[in-house]
Amino acid sequence: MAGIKKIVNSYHIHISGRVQGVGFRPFVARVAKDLHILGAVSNSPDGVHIAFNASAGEAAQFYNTIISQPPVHALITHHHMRPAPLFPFTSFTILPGTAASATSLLLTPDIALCDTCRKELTNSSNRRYQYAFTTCTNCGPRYSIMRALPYEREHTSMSHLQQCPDCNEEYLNSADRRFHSETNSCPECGVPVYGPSLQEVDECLKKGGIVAVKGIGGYLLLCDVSQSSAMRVKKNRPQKPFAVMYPTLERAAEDVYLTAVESLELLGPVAPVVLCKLKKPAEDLAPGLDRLGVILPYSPLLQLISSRYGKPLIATSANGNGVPIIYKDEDAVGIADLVLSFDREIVFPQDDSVICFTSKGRRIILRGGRGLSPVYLHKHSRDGVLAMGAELKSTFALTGEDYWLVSQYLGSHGTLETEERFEETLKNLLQLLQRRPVQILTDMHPGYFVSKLGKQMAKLSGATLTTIQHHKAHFGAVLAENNLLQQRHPVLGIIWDGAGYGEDEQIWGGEVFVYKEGQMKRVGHLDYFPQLMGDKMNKEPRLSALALLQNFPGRHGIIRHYFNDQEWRYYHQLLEGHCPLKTSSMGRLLDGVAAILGVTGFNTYEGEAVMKMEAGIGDIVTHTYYDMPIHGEVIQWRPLILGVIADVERGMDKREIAYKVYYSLAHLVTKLKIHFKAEKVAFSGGVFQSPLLAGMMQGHFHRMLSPNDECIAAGQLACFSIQND
Amino acid sequence: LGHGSGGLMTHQLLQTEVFDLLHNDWLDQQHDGATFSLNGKVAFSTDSYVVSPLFFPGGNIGDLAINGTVNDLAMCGAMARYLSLSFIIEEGLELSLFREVLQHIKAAAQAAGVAIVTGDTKVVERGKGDQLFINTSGIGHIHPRAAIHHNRIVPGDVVIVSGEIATHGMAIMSVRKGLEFETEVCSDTRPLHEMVGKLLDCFGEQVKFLRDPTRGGLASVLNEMTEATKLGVLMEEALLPVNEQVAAACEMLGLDPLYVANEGIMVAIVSAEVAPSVLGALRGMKGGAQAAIIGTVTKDHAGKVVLESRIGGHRVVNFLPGEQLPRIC
Ligand SMILES: [Fe+3]
Ligand SMILES: [Mg+2]
Ligand SMILES: [Zn+2]
Ligand SMILES: [Zn+2]
Repeated sequence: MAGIKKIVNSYHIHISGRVQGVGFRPFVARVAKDLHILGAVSNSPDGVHIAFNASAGEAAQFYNTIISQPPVHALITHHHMRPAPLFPFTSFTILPGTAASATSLLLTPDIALCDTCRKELTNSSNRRYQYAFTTCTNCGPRYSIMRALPYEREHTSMSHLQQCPDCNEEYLNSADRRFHSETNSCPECGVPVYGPSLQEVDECLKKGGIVAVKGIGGYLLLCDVSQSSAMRVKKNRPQKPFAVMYPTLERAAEDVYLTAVESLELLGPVAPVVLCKLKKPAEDLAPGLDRLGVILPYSPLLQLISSRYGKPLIATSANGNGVPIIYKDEDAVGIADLVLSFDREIVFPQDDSVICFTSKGRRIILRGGRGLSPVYLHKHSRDGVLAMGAELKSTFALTGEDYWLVSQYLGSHGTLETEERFEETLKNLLQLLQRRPVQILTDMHPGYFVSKLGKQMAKLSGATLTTIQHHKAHFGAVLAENNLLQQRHPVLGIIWDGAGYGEDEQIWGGEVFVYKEGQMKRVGHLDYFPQLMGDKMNKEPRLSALALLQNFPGRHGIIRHYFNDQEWRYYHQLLEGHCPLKTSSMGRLLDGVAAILGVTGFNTYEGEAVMKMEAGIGDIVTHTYYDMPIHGEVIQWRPLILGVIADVERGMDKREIAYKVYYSLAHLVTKLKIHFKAEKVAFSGGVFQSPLLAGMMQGHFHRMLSPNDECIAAGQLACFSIQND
Repeated sequence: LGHGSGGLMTHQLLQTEVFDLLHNDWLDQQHDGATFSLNGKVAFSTDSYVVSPLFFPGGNIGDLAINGTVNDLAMCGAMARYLSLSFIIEEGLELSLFREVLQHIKAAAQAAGVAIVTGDTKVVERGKGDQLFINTSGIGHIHPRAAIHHNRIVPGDVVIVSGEIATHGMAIMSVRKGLEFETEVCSDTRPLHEMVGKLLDCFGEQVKFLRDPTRGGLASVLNEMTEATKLGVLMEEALLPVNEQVAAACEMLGLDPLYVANEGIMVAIVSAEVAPSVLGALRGMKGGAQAAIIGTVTKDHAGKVVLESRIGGHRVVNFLPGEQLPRIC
């Protein structure tokens, strides 16, 4: 090496995306150290900036390593390197962040307790032994405690807590896994706890009590699995399944079958509720269902409670029916026998995410919350567009220069509490990201709260208002997630859900679209049938069955038992009269089938009848199907309904009939593909929350978003960008 | 009606019938209009009445036509004095039916203490009307102590209804849809001017707002109010006076009693100090036995009407967007 003097230059790297709160700066510092590079890294509102001195070759190597092997939770949307004026660096340092201006930073979701931290909890010689708020650069709360950007301790709800000397040493030591961990703390300098001791919590649970514990996105209610009826009374929830928190994956495996993908999901950074197949029915936890919501302790506090208790616990969000999760300490007072709280404020509340997998391992997000949200899609699009989403399973979405952000699940509107939570979250996030929407997108439905809110906001701010049809938004969302918006070849969109307001002022829901050359066209739909009595029909599958059977008077007997004489007479009269509203809903068709098959005539929670119908199928498989003829734009369901009734009358096993119905839909999709000469197919809509049906489909599906109405906001952005970009 | 006879003949026949039955000093003048003098502040209101069927449990279109306009005036704090009365009759309406309606009109006008002073009848071809339409307009003196305007409402004011809600709408529905109740549900149609008069006598400007929640029900009236005032209303479900049978029928039809029409009750918004006395007074009056305090005006949730359910949730009671559009997916 002697004699060869390297020519050292200065460079500047700028990286944006989700690069804060994921251990990015410590990672950069480590790489720099490995390569003996001198310089500095800092967070700023537009991302991470690195200034350093190196030879051209070293610089390229440094840059490549950073871009190609970033920390697991990082998401790089934009990066570049350029030469910079020479600066005499003497070491590689991490500089504090600079204050916020306009920002293109991505927020990091909360990250579940990592394995290393989990192990430290049980190691009695570790200084964080049984410490309920341990975190590292790879785990801990992020989004839920963020007050401002960039991600620095003083911008979080831990800003009032000072690190002790030991913690500070870790924070400054580039070799430590808590190097620049903004949430760093230990028993010495830890988060103050309010309420009962872990011992008292344990005793209360053992006595059958209900304990409220502050989690990451809000308060959780915990009780022994034997106390489900008390919890049902408390939450006014007669049938809806509960999730169960297991102390370990092994303990969960005693009750449910766990596939590899399911285990990975449970142990991963999201640690959502995963709906897993039960080994034997659990009627009090998941009445009539074949799956149980399994969750592992995702925060150290929950891990300590769960480990100490040693047995499964019912774990459900602390809130009443239809009301958002409780997250403020003052609202939690007295909500359970014991309330365990601590002094780290939740800034952005959210629910636990819920996920299930098809038999082939395809992931279906049923609720996007803690650990998943906010979701980013990397898109270049018009800045400052805000999409208001749908009324139930609401989310909102907004655009930056090179991304779309989709919020967490924000509940179903109709209650004051959810509407206020939505407004508050939207306001806070717009402020945090310093966005002022110039364009607002809403659903076409005239009665949606979110649409009215959007209208109001547009009026106040002068933003332009555009409405987007519900099912087009569904299609747009799945196209966007699969990078198909620029696709040249036609894509067929199979969009099946419960109800959305259609362009013809009828209630759509069994829709087929073709997307070609930037145009989205409705090319097919289920034949219309009467939409009775507004939301009542959507809550009572017996009414869907009745509407489907209206033209087959001889076949009504099969559902007669769901009605008393007066209802029977009156509802028939209603059907014979003028029904101003019609629907093409696939959700209602399946509701009707479930009622015909005797599953239930009434839903006590959304989707109950179809979920129970599907759960009842078990291992039954058949490869016969009911034909669903396509006449022009109209897909006939009558042969299917008549076939179902004929099979029931023949005495065919109802489980087999149910399977046959799902198989018929899969067959229909194959036929539609041929009919419309489409190579590519994409699926969206609440009906595809069914693992059985989604498992039968081949084609493009959602990845980071749910197929249910949580994807509407992103889809509204997609449809707007098709029209305008 | 109208069979075999020319429109003109029929028309004259009708005019005579109406004049003969309702005759009074003004009608007897046979002018194109009535002349009279009124002193002081007056209120003037008009409304048209279309209802099918014409006769229903507890009332008929004639009662509605008189009471409706009397009540519209009463809600302005005015006691109706003079009414106009116009008919649009579909050819083929049975004369006996029309006469019966006339009798009810006469009785209702007498009960409400108003004089029908001018009117008109038109006959339209078969299929161009639905049996019988009525229009009435009314004029009346404003009570000296009346100060009724939504801009006088302040947070903390109390919302009172004078009787059970949704009975009129369900009575109509019961005939139209052949619903049977254990005991017949009757329309609540009645004039409210006396009730209003007494309230204003006793409480004057403490009564800030009066409305009769007819079409669109209680929900529409309160939403109009909150929209205009930028205040909120918090109601308690447990306090809403709803007849048990009416509630069950609403449930069966997928209807919300808050949106069902009323014809004989009013919503009063009064200051908190007098609310208990107003309630007591109403309960002592004819047609007010079921009066109830149902909620309060709030500064919170401005522009929204919210119903606290029996189990504690807070439902937002919106304007109904036209038909019964489902929101649930
Ligand atoms: Fe949908
Ligand atoms: Mg009126
Ligand atoms: Zn960790
Ligand atoms: Zn410490």
